[in-house]
Amino acid sequence: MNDRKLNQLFHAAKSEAPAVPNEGFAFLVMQQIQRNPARTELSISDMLGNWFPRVAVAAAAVIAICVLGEMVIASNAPSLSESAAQLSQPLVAEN
Amino acid sequence: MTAIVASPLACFAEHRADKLKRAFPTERPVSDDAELLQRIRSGAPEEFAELVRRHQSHVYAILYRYERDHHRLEDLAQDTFLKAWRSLEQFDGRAPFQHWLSKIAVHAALDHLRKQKRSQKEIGFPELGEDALEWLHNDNKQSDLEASQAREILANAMRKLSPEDQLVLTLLEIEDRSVKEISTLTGWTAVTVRVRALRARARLKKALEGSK
Repeated sequence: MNDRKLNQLFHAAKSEAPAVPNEGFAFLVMQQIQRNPARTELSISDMLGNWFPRVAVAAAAVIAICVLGEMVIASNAPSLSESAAQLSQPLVAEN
Repeated sequence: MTAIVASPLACFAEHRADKLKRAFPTERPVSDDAELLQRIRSGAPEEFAELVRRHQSHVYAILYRYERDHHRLEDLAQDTFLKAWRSLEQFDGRAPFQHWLSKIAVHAALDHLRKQKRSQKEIGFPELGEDALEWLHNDNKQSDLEASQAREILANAMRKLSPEDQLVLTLLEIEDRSVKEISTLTGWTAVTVRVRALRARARLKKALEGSK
């Protein structure tokens, strides 16, 4: 079977006229829906699935802001050990 | 086809359709899909009939490649719309409604092919006409095959493939869809689509050679 012949088969399939729905098709569907009208409400996992990308981006942004803030504060403020030493100096001097 | 239309079953369906038509009148101002969906969500389920009317030809155009029997095709199309109705809450409106519906139709088609495959016994090539057999036998034959015969040969060979192979070849080779489109419709990655299509084509050739 060569490609030319295979393409000839595909071409014939392409040219087939599509089937057309009957006049009352929409009403038959509505009839089915009337028999079983239950529509799936969104479950918690569906909602989480829908919201996950946005929540993930928001969480990453909050973490990044916290880390940046911490870095800025840490670079300007004296270190914790220096502050502790300063506080303890008068006590050491008294004793 | 005319026999189907004239059958008592079809008459009954038409009668039911007329009854329902009175229950769901069609004359209403034209609105877009988003507006209709909004109305359905706010408690007007009958508006779904208008959505079905708008997209039924599109759904049929997708599904008829996988089911040739008119009654089974109608069932499959109904099933597609029922699935759409049941999961309407999951449609977020980021893509057009028709794209979302196409995905449901493609998955319904794949499920249908899987069910058929499970219930299907080993298929031999049924009696093809002499012309078709000669065409298959002779690689150098220049004459063109009749379109209906070609479609019959292809349909028989396709049935020997896996449902996934049938789907990817139909979407790529017959419907001329792009790899990206197929990827969106099926949920497979673009690489999977390409690899599957390549292998499916090779398997189809083999199936056709086996039918000689």
